[in-house]
Amino acid sequence: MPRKNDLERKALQLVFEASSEGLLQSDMWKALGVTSREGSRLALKFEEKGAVERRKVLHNGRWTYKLFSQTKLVTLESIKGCPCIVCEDLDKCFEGGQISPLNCQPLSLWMVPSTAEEDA
Amino acid sequence: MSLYSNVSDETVDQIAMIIGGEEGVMIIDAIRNVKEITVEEIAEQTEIQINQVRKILYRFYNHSLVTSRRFRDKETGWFIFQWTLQQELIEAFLTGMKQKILRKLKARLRHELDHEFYRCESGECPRITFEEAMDTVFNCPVCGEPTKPMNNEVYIDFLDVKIAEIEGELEA
Repeated sequence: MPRKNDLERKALQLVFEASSEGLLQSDMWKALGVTSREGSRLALKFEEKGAVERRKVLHNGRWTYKLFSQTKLVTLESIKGCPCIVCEDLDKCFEGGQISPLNCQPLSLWMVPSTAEEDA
Repeated sequence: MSLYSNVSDETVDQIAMIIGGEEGVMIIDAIRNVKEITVEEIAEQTEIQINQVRKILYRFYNHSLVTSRRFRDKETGWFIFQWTLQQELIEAFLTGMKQKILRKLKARLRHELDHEFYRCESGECPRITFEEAMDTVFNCPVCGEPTKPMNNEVYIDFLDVKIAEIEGELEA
């Protein structure tokens, strides 16, 4: 028998993968192999936690719920490669300080790799 | 990915790689799926030396990515530390880091926009601002050669794009 957490994880993954299309609540519990009652409880729990939005929709003449993931993944993409992440002087670095972003060589190298020596 | 976390395992691995290198990723991988783990257990699983495991764990600890619980071994009287990944603080770490970097990039952009830069033709000496160039009668303060105005559009373009990108991620 799967652990409750595993089931929730799998359900959230299904909803997340459905992205903007959304996932019918009935499709979710069928894919998980659980009863409609369990599926409904899971969906309600996700809604309470703010992880999922439940929208009432008419499907094949019956009212059901469609689930939309509210998970917005936070990534590292925009600051990938930025030397500040591992800089030991990060909190001592400020405009006008001895260590300053205005003339930081590693920062210049990140910005424009070929012109780093200009700020050396 | 923890149940209700907004940070994927891949992103956690990227952070671990930046802070602790490949060994950092292996250590995070060992901590990720257990409630608590000791340094000795991590060292055994990853085959990384104990002192190195401890060193990298403290690096993660400095960024609040992991936490530890201390208790005394009844037999030896030594302290034992049980380490846990603070999954819920990883998002805060990322957001905080982006905000700090954003402030620095904005300061740099203002500097780039507010100044004209000069440099000599050696290609090795640092660039200087117009005000600094005035003081040295437009000669390079390092090599003494005459300086010429330089175009900093490449910096400004990068900063414009990067600032918009980070702000976009922070607002999402």
